Amino acid sequence: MMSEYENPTITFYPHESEFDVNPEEQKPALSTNERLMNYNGRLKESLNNGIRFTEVFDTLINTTDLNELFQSIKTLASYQLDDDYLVYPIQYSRADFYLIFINRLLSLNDKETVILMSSEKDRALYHEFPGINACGRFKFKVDSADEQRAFYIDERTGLSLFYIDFSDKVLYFNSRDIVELLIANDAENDKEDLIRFEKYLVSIGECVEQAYGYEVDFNLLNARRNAVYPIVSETEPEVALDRLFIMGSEAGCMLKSGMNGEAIMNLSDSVVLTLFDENLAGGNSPKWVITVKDDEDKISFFDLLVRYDFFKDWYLENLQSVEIRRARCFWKEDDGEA
Amino acid sequence: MDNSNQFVLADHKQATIDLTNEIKNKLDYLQSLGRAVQAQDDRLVYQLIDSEKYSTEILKARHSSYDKSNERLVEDAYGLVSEYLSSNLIEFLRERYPFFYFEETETGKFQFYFGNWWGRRLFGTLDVLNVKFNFDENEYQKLVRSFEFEAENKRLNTDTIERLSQENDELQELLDSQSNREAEKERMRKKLKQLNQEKVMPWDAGKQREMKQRLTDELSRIAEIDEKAANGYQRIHENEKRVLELSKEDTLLGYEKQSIIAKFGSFENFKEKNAALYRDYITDLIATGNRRN
Repeated sequence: MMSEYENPTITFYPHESEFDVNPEEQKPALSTNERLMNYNGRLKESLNNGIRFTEVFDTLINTTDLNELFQSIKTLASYQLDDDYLVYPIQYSRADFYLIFINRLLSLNDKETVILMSSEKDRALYHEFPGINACGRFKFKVDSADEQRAFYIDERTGLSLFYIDFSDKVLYFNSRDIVELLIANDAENDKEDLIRFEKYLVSIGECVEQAYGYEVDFNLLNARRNAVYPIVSETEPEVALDRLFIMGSEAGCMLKSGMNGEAIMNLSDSVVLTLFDENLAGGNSPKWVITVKDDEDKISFFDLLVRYDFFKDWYLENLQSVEIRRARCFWKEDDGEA
Repeated sequence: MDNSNQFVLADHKQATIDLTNEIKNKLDYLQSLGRAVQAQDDRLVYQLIDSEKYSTEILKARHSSYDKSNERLVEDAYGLVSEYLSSNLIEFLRERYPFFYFEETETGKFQFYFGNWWGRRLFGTLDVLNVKFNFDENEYQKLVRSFEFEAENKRLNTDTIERLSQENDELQELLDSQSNREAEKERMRKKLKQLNQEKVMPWDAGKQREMKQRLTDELSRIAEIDEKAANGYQRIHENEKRVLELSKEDTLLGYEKQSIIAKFGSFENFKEKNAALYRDYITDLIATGNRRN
């Protein structure tokens, strides 16, 4: 990789006009010597800027300190390497820095399971997760409006699995795209691999949460005890519940009726799925949510989709009413998520 | 003063004795009932509030006449009597009918649901004083028929669901073939126009008329199909909704049947046990010493 930096540097030769004093200004023209000094000074600044970059980049790829790591990615997220005097023709993009950051962060937490690859063609980096979507490649797509924000996407489909914001310190998982990519076309994915991939995604969220105090919406990947998954339907999803009752019965899981109108299903001895109106007691307008409880707080909604085929079929058939809500940053116009 | 013209009236002395006796009789009855309640002797309460039923069902003895006048004294307190008797009774019923879920709607009035599953049906009311279920006739008949269908290895709504699903398949086909029909119509219209413009020899006129008629008939036949297809989406949607309702009902009935089989072995046995409920319960009260006591 070092060899890339040994390539000759192309410098921008300043256009003369930039040094020409605006004729309207009545100041005396710069002497040639002053111009040369000026130029040299700017060049030094550019070179120093480049050297500073290499130092920060060094930190990103080598530091063992989590805070230094974060400072380095924060700096690189908005670093302007090129300027009018000096342009580096061979560079890694911000999207690449973010990928490197994820690997470094996970490796410092002993959780690195994703492989950072470098494309033969253009040196661009990408993530490869063995077993997921065959030749699936994941990378970041930086928000054009704010380079500190990026979506982690599947390169082939463009589906985004999560959104990360380095300035606001938030990370949101995307229920819809995760399901579409991993569950809806799961024929090609082994269940074990899906669970490993889920663990990988969750560990990213956990690492930024623990190390840097990020606000993380684990969404359907959340296996914690207090996990609540709000669904898109505001009122009772009657049709979906009736279908769950029927499909559950065929799979040997009875959907039960609770004392307060909640729908309860024991998927196994220790895993209980509940759908209920969270606002029932408060007198506010209804807010239907799903919870998944298990003895060890290890099972997320996503796990149910992987483990129980009838449940997956039910969910995919009833997305219109029971889809797990996702953060606003994923909303697209006209898709009715408002 | 001679009042020999007056009617002979009741002997007041006798009347006093008679009324005193009657009041004593009633007091005795109420006191017995009061003592039975105090002693939590539910069996005796049942006997006292309806001696005829008790004799017929328990003692298997039918007297020629029963004096029900005393029993009528508590008629206006039936709500309270029922409330009192319900707690032991429902405890008994919960053991025997674990799939019935009782709910008190007002003092001494109870309704019950079949099962604790989603969409469970309200299945009837409980007559505590007579130890009897009043099943909702409509819901009960569905269960009866559902057991009958079982012999054919079918569920209650299997046939209807099949019919609706087939109708939907056909409608879908009509919708899918819309573009074919459009092309067909276009072809016929062209042909018709062509026939109209053609000059024919008089001896061919009949043949041409016949041809035109055939084309017109065919066009109106296709128009009918189009109309059917136009309502297709709506109809498919309605059918799907209906199929969902019917599947849900079949699922409910499935759970009901399973519950009955698990506890009673057969629907026949379930019916027999229901018919013998009063006797079985009183017998149970005797055997357990009024359960709680």
